[in-house]
Amino acid sequence: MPMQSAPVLALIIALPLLGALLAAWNRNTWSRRAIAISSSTMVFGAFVATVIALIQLSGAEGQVLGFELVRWGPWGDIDLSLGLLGDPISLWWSIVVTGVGFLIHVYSAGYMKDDPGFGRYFAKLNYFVFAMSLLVLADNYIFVLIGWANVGVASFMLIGFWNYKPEAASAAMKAFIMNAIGEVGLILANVLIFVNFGTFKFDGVFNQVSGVSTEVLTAIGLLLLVAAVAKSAQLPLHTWLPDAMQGPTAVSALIHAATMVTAGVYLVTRSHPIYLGSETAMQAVAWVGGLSALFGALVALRQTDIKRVLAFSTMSQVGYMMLAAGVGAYTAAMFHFMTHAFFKALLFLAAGIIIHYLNGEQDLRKMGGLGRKMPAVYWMSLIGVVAIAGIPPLAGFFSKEEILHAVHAEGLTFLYFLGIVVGGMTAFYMFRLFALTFAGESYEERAQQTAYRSGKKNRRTEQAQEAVHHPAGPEMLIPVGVLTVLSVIGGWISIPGLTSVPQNFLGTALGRYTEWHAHAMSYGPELILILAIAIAGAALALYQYGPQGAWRRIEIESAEKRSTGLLATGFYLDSVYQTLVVRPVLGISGFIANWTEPKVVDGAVNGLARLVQITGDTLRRWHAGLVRRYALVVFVGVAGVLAYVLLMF
Amino acid sequence: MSETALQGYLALSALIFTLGGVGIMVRRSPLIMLMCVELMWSGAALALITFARHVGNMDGHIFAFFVMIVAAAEVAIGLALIVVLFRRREEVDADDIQQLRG
Amino acid sequence: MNAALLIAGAIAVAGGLGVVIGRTPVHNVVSLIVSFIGLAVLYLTLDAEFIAIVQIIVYAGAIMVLFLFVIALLTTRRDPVQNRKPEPSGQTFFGIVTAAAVLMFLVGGVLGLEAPGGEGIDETFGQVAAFGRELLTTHVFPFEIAAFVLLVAVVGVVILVGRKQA
Repeated sequence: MPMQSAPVLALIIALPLLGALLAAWNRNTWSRRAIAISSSTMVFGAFVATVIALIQLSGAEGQVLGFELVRWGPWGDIDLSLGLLGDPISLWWSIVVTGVGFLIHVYSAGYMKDDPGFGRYFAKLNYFVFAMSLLVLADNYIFVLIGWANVGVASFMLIGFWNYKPEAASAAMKAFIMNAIGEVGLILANVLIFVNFGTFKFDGVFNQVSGVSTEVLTAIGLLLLVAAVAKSAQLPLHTWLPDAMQGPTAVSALIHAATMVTAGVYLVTRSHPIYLGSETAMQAVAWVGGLSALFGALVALRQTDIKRVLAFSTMSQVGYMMLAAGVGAYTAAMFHFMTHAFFKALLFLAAGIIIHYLNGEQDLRKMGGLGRKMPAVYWMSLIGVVAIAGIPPLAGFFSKEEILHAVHAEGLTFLYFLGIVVGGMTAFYMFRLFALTFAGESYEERAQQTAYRSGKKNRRTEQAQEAVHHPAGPEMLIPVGVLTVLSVIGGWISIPGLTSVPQNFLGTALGRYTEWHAHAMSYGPELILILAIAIAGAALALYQYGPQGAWRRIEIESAEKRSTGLLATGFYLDSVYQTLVVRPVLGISGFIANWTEPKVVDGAVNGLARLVQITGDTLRRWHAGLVRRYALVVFVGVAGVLAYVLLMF
Repeated sequence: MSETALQGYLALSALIFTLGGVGIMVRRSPLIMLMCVELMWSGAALALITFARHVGNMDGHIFAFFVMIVAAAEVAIGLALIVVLFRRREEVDADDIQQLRG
Repeated sequence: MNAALLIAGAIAVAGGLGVVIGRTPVHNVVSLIVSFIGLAVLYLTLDAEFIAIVQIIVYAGAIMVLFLFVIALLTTRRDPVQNRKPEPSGQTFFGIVTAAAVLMFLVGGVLGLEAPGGEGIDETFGQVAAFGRELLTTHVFPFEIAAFVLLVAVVGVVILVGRKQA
């Protein structure tokens, strides 16, 4: 593929890195304002650089942009040129990463205002943008791996940002370890790629795909899928994502909703020539995506923590993207990635405002009545909820419909209906969240009523009354507003029959799988079905969880109890992993620590030491410093040599 | 020179050599140990001269001569060391000199 | 020749035993001189005239006189060692056993030697002229080195003994 040099690509990764270094270096000396401005400016600079790269790309007449960073070699036949690639796919991701990243930086300035780790937070957030940009802009699998590992580290650091909380620390560790599984898959895939293709560069690899056997492509595809599953929190490696909500909410919005968890989708999309060469790998991607979408939606139905609902929802939505990638509808996957980044970031940031307002309360059952107190957030959340529920004309409808359409066109009927049902469930759990949060009476009002009825005030009630609320400032509301607008209009770039920006833009990079929308309108009945199920889900949720809803009352009355059951615990998967993986590993570790280590290893070491000691003690007697002893030893040696000579020769 | 005679001379040299060795290992006076070293030198020199006679080559004599030279040098230095030791203490016992103790 | 070997050998061994067993330093020195004289006789029987003479003059004469000087200078008492310290365990026993083993191996090796009739020798064998020619032609470099070794020994002795006591 012809390539045009574009140094501006280097700026996209260099600016956030610079910002990270500045923030880290000056975190204790600069004012919070200075740190926030510096970090946000750097990410905004990266965003501008991406826009410039887009302009250059549009003028490049079919060429892609590239910029070589490192060159290893040549060593014999091996000549590794590692650099950045600015093709439509890269820039599509980059614009979302830097754009949403910038909005969330601005939001964070308000959200983290009172946190003592302000500078540290911004350094890590900038570092994440750097790593994610490197990942999506890489023109070879080595940089993908480096970016992959670095976003993992950034995610680890930000989940465990409040490292004094044991839950946050262990959640960070969990995320890191589960991502390590994926990294092993990615490394093995890299090895296979290099062995079979002799290069790491994307164009070099993809040009040779036709010359490689299907088995090899399947193996590479499945290994890449392992990496994608771990990073994108798909079945069965998703359990780290709900726990990752221990991090600051802005982090959850950026990393664990909008960008990093979709890296798996990026990897599959980027590697599409490999997947198109292997039917098995394609099927695996589609089924993993479809089942994850179902699983996430099912579990989200019964979660009581606002952020965990959103986390499982993320898993479900990323499942949609994987499903799309699995049927070859990469355009749809990337379109949904973008719209999802908008409305999920919006929902997370709105949730962050709510949590901020309620002084850290995250339990849905203790919310309610917030619609009257914060109307702006109410309306913006409503738009986000409607968008994710897939109701036109908001963004989610178009992207989700495009995915389902592609699945149907590919002939995967089961997954198609599964996708439709999941759409209904999505509408249900999102409206449940919305209703529990904003509708009805607030927790304090309910507590007061209970107190009046029982005629006494308990301590909890007083606490609730005395609670001081933290309303959100403009630096938090404006990014949410921008995301709201984007959630509304984001879908309009691909209205069947009217616009087709993703298709035209991405088509050059993706080849044949871009034509879905030519058929979109011919499925009128299915469209009605999809809409009907989504609206039914929403209506059911509003009815049951509205101010007078029956299910609402049941849930609120159980507010003090720990929720159990199949859905609330995520099908007990955490417990299953605990039993199947963690316990045995701990058992083996314990065995090694308590038996092997002291008995075998220490035994060997101490035994060796004892042996040396005994030998030394024995030999020491021969070195008493007595000349005559030495003479005796020499004579023994002489006798030995003589005996040897006489007996051997 | 007959085989018996050769063996006799060599056995004698071995006997004198080991006598010296026993003296070094058994006696504690440095002076006597030094004499025993001389005895060992002599045993070795006897073997050299025996072989020189047997082979009919005078190189063995030369070597024995060098042995004497080295022995003379060694005695000179050894006696000097003993003198120094005697100056340091009343009585000298080879076992008292233990600075090489490990 | 065998008679001479036996008698002179017996004298040499007896002298050696005297060195090892003797309790008075002077007795040890005299025994050593006796042993050296016996050895000189043996050298004579081996046609090594020059070496025999050197043995008498240098060894039995000069070196042993040096020993006597030292003994006279330092002590005339009996063996200065008064057994203040116990013998190191097994030193005597193992010393004799090891020496016996060495002797056994050496004699065993000697007796196993196959040496049918040696080379004949000419008139001048072992005489001063032949010796001198050998020494100053073929072995002149070791000769020079030996001279240097003796010089070093002299210097060393002067440094060791001539130094004022600290």
